[in-house]
Amino acid sequence: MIRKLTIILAVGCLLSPMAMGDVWQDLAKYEYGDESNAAAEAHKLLQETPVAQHAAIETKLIALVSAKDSTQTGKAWACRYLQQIGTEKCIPAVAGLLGDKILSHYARLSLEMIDSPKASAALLAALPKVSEKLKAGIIISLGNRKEATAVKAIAPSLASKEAGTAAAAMRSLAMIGGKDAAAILAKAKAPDALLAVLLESQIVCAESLEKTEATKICGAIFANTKNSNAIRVAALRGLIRADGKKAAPIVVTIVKDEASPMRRGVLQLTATEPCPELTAAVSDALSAMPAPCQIEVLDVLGQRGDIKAIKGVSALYSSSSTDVKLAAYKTAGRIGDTGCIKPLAELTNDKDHGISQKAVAALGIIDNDAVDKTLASLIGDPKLGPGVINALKRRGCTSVTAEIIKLVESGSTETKIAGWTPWATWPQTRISTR
Amino acid sequence: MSKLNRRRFLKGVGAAAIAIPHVITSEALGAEGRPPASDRITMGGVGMGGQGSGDLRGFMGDKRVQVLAVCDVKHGALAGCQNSVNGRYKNKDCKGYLDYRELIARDDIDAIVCGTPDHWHAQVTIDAMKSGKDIYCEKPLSLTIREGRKMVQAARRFGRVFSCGSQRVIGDYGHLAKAANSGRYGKVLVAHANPGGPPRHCHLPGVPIPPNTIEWDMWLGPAPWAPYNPYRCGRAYGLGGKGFRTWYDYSGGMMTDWGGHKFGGALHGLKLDHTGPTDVLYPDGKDVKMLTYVFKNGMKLVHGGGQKYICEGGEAKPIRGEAVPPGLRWYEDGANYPIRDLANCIITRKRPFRDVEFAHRTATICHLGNICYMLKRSLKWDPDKEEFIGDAEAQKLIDRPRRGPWQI
Repeated sequence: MIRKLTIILAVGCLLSPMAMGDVWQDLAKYEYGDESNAAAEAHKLLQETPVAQHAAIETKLIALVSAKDSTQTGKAWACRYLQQIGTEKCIPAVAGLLGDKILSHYARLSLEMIDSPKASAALLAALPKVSEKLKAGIIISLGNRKEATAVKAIAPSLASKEAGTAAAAMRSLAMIGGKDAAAILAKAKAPDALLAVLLESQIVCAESLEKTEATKICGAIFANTKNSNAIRVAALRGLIRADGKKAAPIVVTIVKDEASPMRRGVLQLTATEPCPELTAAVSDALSAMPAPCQIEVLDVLGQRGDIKAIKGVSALYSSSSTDVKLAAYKTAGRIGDTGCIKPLAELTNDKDHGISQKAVAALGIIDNDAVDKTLASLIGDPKLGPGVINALKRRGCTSVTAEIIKLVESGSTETKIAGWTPWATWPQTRISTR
Repeated sequence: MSKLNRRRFLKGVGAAAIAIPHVITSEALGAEGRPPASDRITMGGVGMGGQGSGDLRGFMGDKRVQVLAVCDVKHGALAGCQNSVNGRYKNKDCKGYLDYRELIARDDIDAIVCGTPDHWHAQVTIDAMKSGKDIYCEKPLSLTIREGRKMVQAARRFGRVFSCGSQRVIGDYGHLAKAANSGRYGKVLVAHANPGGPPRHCHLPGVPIPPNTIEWDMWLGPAPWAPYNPYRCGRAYGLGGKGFRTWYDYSGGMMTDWGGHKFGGALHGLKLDHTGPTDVLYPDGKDVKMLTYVFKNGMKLVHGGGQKYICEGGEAKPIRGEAVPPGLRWYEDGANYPIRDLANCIITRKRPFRDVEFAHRTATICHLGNICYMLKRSLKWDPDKEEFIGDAEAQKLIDRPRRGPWQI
């Protein structure tokens, strides 16, 4: 019994991290390619150690990082493991590496991610002490941590001669956000090569401000025609978010202008930005746009998916252009209006094959059971039957198989052709439960 | 449809070198059925290894596209791709760059293909979008969850069209998605997808860099500094240790590399590629045999067990030529491949089939799986806030600090 207990105790000691001192000693001397393969062994040990015992490993790693004679590679790997298990305890040791050209980034692997104000404090303390180039990394970490107390410390780096450091300062202030950061960014000057970075940072920072302030900042950047189109589009987006009512007419002006160099970007904004004023303004302006614009804008309204656009969209049902009509019906279907079903069903029988195909395709994508029901009710109409059958085939709807079989036996030639053309989901044994 | 007015587009763009081909070929003037220059989509390629150069060739097959420049930090890949483009157009106009920032600064380029290793995807594409470029980016979208969200934000902020790769989502798995959503089998309950496993850390020794072969510091970019070894940055597929896809610092392993295809396909068929799971269950060998993602609506996605959908009525079996059920996203406007789809969408401004948001949600599934395997336990996830719930250890793995001065 005693012998068994002794064996158990010995095995336990061998497996405990405190007893695996060799792995950490090897890691302290580790270089890539060493036979000891210490980094891999250490990682394996870490993965196999229960979380409750991580503190013991952390202590070993802190000692390794602090030791003057540990290799650079050994310290780098220790920092990697501290990224996973490091706590406040490791901060002083790791922060000591921030001034090292290679190890500074490794130190930030844990410092940036540890949820403690002490990590930010360590980064801030190191900032004035490191080289201009290494400042960039520390500032990036402070920005990613959204460390509001770092704003004043970061500000001087806006004028750094190291472009990477200056850019990091701009972007980090933007990520931190708030009035103080915005005020500093507003006063900052940038060389030509960094002007876009500064403007982008001002726009991003504005997202954290009150709407009136954001409107002022984004409005001014947009209004300055010397700014690049990319920046002006971003500024307009900021304006949409801050003051949709003010931005909407600007959006309409640009999307109506086929020659506008910002049109492509603004069409994208129109598709993606949640803003009720935008839906209303763009759909109300539809009728006054040239036909090619109408088709593009209709698709964008379909992407928005806002049913409030239906008034403007449905006004185009009477367009003299069949392409515009089709696009309007398609959009109506996408935004959930079932009033488009019957008109589209009529178009599925258009003599122009291109139009009938587009109508079938438009009905095919509307995700609404009402479509199947409405189409089923129209099958018996000899004028609509063939096109409607094609639309039902396109939708993969098999719930009306019996009706269609009856119809093709007694219907017109066109109906027979539509009904008997191979239909992949026809097999009567598999009836849709949709 | 209105024309893409490129010359007006150039007006008002910030100061940058405008590079124009020395020779305007007859092709540029619209001979041989090609659109005139003003209706072209001009393109640059960044990261022109095997996959990237293949994508670029795919775009060159589209008459609307003209490739003007390429970039790679490997000298051989750069020269090879440049020669390939010049050979195609029978001129010597394709400019080569070692630094992508010079390429994206060009005002005459509308869009870029990004075929770099995964650890560069976010930086290159975000910087390019800030310069007004539309994007085709190879899968997997990102190296971390937070990177992916920032890529979506940049696309929306700068009004860009962004398509991620994965021709297989529809090409290989679309027929399964159609069957699952046809209604023949009732409601979908579980999807299975079987990409391979996670990456591992690289311990390869450093070797001298052969002269004029690679810009090593640039290849590393935002990743931690490590010594050069050809197998660290190689192009080999799989987890065999001879290519970047094996290594944690540059890739999510096969989990992301094939996850972009297989999880992408599964999410597409589940119609859940606009959201994420609430739980990631680690296989305990008892109730949970394989890593399982659970969604708010009760659907599940399992890592392993083939590529299939299990519905109320059994496993969904595809039928040849089956129609696309309504409500299942698909290519539009005659596209049958993401490359053509993006080219269409650059002109129409429609959302591409593999829009960056869907690609991000797919990549997130892959990253969540890798984190789960790393921590060896189940996780709780908020798909709206994109945070772990009450899990500081997991939350630390949602992003990786970038080496300065790289910042997104």
